[in-house]
Amino acid sequence: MASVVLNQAVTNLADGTLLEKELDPSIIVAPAADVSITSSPITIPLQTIPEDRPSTPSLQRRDSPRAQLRPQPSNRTSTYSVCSEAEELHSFRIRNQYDEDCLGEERGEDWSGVSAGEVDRFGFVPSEKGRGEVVRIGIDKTGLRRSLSLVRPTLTLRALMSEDATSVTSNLTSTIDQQSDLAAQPTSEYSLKESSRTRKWAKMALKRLEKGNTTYTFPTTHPKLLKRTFKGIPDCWRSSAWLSFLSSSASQRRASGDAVPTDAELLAEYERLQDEASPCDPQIDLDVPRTIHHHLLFRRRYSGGQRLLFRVLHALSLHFPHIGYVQGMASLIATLLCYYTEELAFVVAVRVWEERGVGALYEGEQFGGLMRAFAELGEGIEERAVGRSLEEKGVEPIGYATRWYLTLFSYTVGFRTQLRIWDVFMLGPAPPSTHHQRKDAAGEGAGGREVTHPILQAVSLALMEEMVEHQDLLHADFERAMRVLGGRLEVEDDEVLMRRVWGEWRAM
Amino acid sequence: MAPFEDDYVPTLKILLIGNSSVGKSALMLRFTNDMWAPEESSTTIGVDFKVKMVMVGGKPYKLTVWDTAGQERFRTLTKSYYRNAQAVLVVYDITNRATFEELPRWLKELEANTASDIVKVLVGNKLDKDSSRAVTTEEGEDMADRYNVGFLEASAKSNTHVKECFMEMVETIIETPTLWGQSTTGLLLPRGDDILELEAAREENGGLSLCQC
Repeated sequence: MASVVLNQAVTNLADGTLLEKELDPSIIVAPAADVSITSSPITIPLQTIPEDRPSTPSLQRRDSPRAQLRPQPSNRTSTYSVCSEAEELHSFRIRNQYDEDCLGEERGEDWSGVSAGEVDRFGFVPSEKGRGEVVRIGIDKTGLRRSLSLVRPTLTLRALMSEDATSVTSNLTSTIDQQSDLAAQPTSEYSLKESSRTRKWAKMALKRLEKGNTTYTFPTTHPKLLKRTFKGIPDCWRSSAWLSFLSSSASQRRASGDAVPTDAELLAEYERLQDEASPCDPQIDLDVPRTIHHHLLFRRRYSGGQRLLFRVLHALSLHFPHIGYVQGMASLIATLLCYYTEELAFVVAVRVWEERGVGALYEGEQFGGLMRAFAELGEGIEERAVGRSLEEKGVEPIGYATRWYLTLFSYTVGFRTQLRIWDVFMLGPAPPSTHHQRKDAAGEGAGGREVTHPILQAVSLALMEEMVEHQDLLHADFERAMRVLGGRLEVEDDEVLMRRVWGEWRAM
Repeated sequence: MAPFEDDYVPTLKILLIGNSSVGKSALMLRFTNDMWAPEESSTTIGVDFKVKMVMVGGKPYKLTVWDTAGQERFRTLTKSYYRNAQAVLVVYDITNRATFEELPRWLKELEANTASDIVKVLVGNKLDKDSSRAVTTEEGEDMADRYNVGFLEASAKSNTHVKECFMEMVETIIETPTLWGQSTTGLLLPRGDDILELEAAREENGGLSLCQC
C-alpha cells in the first residue's frame, strides 16, 4: 500500500514538483523501514572510537530498524532519498564508475607532474595562475607594505589518510614522529610554536587503549582547552581533537535521552549505505571533480580522494533523507578527508550536521536555518558602523554570507586559516552570556540575544571588522563591498583574526 | 541614446541562471576577465559577483554580473538575486540534453519573478564540443521562440560569441527605457571617483582586480 503512494510521490518528484505538499510525513519513514528488513547483520568495525562503543551493538541493531538510526523527520515533510527507477539505474552507473576505477590504486594521492617542493604543508598544489581575485587582510604592524610570502616552504607532508583504513590513531603516531622533523625546519617561528603547543596538547590528551587501538580524547572540562583551541590545535592532534569534541557532544545528548547513534552504528551504516541508490548521486558526481582539485588527494578523476568524497557524500545524502546532498557540502567533506578515513569522515560529518547545526543550515527548500542565522547576523551588525553602511548600500547577508556559512568559510579563507576556524567550530563552545542567562533566568545576559551559530557569527563579525580596517569596507560602493565580502580572503596573520573572533564570541 | 547625464555611469545588472555544470561561471569569467581556467573551477555556492566596465556608443556602463548556484535546491535562494536584474542569461549545455529539458522550468520561473520587459537570452554553451552535441541549434531556437527570448550558442572555452552575447544584451537594455526605472534608485549608482579607479584597473589588466596590496 505504502509503495503505491510512494510511486505517486516519485512521479511528482520526476516532474519536478516539490514533494512538500503532496507527501505525508508518515509515508516518508516507510521506505527506510522497509529497506532495513533486508539489511545485513551488523559487523563490529575494527576501529574503535572513544566514548561511543555501544555495550550491545548487535542487540540494539535488531531492535531498532535502520530508520531509527537516521534522524527522524519529525515535522519535516520533504525527502531527497527516494529514487525513481530511472534514478536508481543512474545512481548505480555512477557508483560503479567510482568503484571500477579505483582498483589497483594503492594510495589516494596523485603526484603526477608535481614535485615535493611544489606542494604545501597541507597537500595543496598551488596553482600557477593564482586564484583570480584575492583580498588580503591582516595586521600591518610596520606600516610598510606587507610581504606576500604566505606560502611556507614545504614541511613534511602529513601522512594523508590511505584507503586501508588505518585509523586516526596510526595516522596520529606517524605525524607525531614527524613533529621533530617539522621543528627542525628553518621556517622556525611557526614550527617552534607548533611544537610547544604539541607538547601541551599531548599533556591534555587522555590515552585510551581499546582492542589494540590507542585513541585520545580531550576532556572538554579542561580549564585551558578553550583558550588553547582558540590558539590553534597542533595539526597532528587535530583529527583526534575534533572527533573527541564532537563525540563528547553526542554522548552528552545521548545521556540526556536523545536518540543519538553511536559511532559503531554509524560505521556499520556507512558500509550498508554504499549499496543503496541515492537520487543525489548525479549532482554529487558533478561536484566531486570540482572540489579542491588542486589538492594531491583530489586530483585524479574517480579515484583516490574523489572516490572517497563521492562515497561519503552519497552516504550522507541517504543518512539525512530530509536534507539530501546540497552544493557546499563537498568542500566540508573534502576537508574532513584530509584528516580522516572515509568511514570516520562520515561519522564526523554526521556529528557536525547534528551536534553543530550544519544540517539545519542546509535543510529545507527555503533554507530556514540559514535564513535565521542571517537574521541573527543582521542583528549582530545593525548597531555597528559596518552594519549601517551595508544597509545603506543594500548589501544583505544573503548576498555574501551564504557561502561563509554553508562552507564554514572554506570557500573564503585559505586552508590554514580555515583549520583555525574549524578548531573552534568543532569545539562549539557556547558564548559566555548564555551561562549568565541561565543563571539569572531573566534572559539579560551580557550579550543579550541568543545566537544559533555563535562561532560562525563571531567569525563573520571578525572578518567584517578586518575588512573595515584593511579594505575600507565602510566607504566601498555596492559593487566593491560585494566583491570584498564575497571574495577570497588571504588572512596574513591568523592570530590576529582569531583574537578578534575570541573577542566577538566573548561579547555575545 | 543614453539614459543618464555624462557624469553618471549607469549600472546594469545581469544574472546568469541554468542547471548545474552548464558553464555559467565559465561564461562570466570569460566575459569579465577573459579567462578560461578549468583547473580553477569550483561549485558556485549562493552567488558569485563580478563587475566589468564597457563602452557602448562612446559612453561607459558598469555591468554587474551575478552568477548563481545551479542546483535545484538553491532555486528559492537564487530568486532573491533576481531583484532589479535588467537582463538574464539562461544557460544550458548543448552536450547535455537534460540541461536543455529543464529550460521550461527556468524560463517559467523567470517569467514569474521578473518584469516582463527584462532582456532574456537563451545560451547554449560548450559549442566547442559540437561533435558531442545532444541538442540541435534548431531545437534551441524553437525553445527561444516559444518563450520569446533571444538565442545564441556560445563557448566559454573557445571564446565564441561570449562577448557578443553580453554586449548585445547591454545594447538591448540601453534601448529599453522602461528597464531604467528600476535601477535609478541611487543604490546601484557608484560614486564618481570609483569610476576612474575601475576604468584604470580595466585598462591595466583588461579586467578588474581587487588585489590592493
